[in-house]
Amino acid sequence: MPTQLTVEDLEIDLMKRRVTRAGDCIELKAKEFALLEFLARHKNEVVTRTMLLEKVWQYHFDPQTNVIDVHISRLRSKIDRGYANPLLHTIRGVGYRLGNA
Amino acid sequence: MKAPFLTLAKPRGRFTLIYIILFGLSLVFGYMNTQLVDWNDSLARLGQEIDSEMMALEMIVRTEGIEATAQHCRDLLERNVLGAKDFESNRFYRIESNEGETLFANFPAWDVENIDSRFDDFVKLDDLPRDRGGEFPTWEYFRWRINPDFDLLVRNLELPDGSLLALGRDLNFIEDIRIANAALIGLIVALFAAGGIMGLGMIRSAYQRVDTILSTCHSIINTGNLSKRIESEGGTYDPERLAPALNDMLDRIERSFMAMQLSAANIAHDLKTPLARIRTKVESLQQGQKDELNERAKEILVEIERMQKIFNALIQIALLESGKPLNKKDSVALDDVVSGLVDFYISVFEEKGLILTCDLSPVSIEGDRQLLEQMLSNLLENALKYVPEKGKVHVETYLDRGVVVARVTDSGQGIPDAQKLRVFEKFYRGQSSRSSEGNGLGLSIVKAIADAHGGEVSLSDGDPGLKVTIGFER
Repeated sequence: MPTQLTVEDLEIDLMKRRVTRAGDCIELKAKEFALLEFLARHKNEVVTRTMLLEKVWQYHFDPQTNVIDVHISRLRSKIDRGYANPLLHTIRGVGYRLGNA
Repeated sequence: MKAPFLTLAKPRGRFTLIYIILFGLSLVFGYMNTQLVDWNDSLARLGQEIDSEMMALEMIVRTEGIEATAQHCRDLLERNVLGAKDFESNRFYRIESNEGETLFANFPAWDVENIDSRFDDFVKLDDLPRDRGGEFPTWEYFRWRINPDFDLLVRNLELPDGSLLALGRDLNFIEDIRIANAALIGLIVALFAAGGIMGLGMIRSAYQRVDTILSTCHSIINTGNLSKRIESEGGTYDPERLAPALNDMLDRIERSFMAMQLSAANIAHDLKTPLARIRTKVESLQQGQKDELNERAKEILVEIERMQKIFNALIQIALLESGKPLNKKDSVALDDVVSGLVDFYISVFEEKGLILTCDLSPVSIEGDRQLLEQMLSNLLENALKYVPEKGKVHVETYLDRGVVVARVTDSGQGIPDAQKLRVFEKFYRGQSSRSSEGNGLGLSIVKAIADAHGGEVSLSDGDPGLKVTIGFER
């Protein structure tokens, strides 16, 4: 079981629950951390909204609103804003992908 | 063509025939029996009467002599010592001495030898029931019809010294009883006939009711027109009571059927739009560029997904409404569910400029956590969809007199009273929600889940806005 996940210059310390990008410390809320952790565990894979809903929030209903998108965009604003190279991508009509590989 | 009411081809015709035959037979037999029994009984009774009087007279003859006996009989008739009402017309004596002298008589003498035995004007009644001791001489019984008003049952006793005692009773008395009996029988026959006719009338009317009911049923079966009803006169006897019950059943079936048709129509309608879009997109695919292909395929997937959501929701509602017990039954803390959902939705509320607040007392119910999450998320998403910008949405959980309550209050436009009940119908969309996204199943699911948990959903006005209250009796 790794204690650290790395997606390019993004590093997630699972033990200390700390996230850094290019050495900069990023403050995340608990659910934002869980969301990022799940994406990082599936780095470079396309993750659907349903997967996020079930694995991160343990919800099994089908939101009619863009609530997941809002969570993603909030996370994106924290980990991608100000960096030249965006890591969190929206795959239209399918879901999201963390990583550029 | 109207079939005759009574034919032997139908059970009721055969039944009626058998009834008439049996009734007729029993009537004839009963009449004959009554007549015979009555006539013989009366004769026997009179015979016994004569018997005992004869014994008494014989005793008088032996002790006091024949003349004293004649005097006794005369006294008896003149003084009416017995006080009988029909005394004079019913008692007859003829007493002759051994020299042939008539000592007393109130009916004429006869000559047995000269009476033609072929006529029953003078008949020897050998078959009369009698009960005699050995000490009495031979009794002779005669019916002597002197004239129509003078019809006697007579017994002769020749005493050892040659004198004669004859005692009679008027048989017209029996005839009167027979006439009365005949009248009674006639009355009974008339009553039975009247009863039979009335019964037949009732049976006929009952069968006619059954025929009406049958013809309505056949008409519904043949035409499939559920709006037909059985004509009912509102009576209380059985076939009549059947009609309203059947009509009520038809009402119920028709309502369900119409609801089903409506649902089907709504489903068809809601699927029309995504299908039309898919069609357009597939058509444009045929002439499109390659890089456009991916894009269209994705759009098509979105539409398909939308249809799948509708189907999933319908299936879920159907399952919940089927009344099957819940798969899971745990203690679920509603305040915890709400706080998780608020955490989940707060950012999207903020994005839309809405304020989401909550006030949660710890309350829990038995149930399926996933379903309860879905139920409450639907309420929050409704608020998210319909409450205008800068609005407020407040969620509470609390215990109110033993009822666990979850309530979502918003500052939106609310729902007019006329629509408050209809919003729970599948695919119902109020005026204000027609333009927005959604499949019209959200509140149907809320209600279905609440029902499955024994809860009750109510809508009230939230001053302004809408207040959705779900109460669970514990």
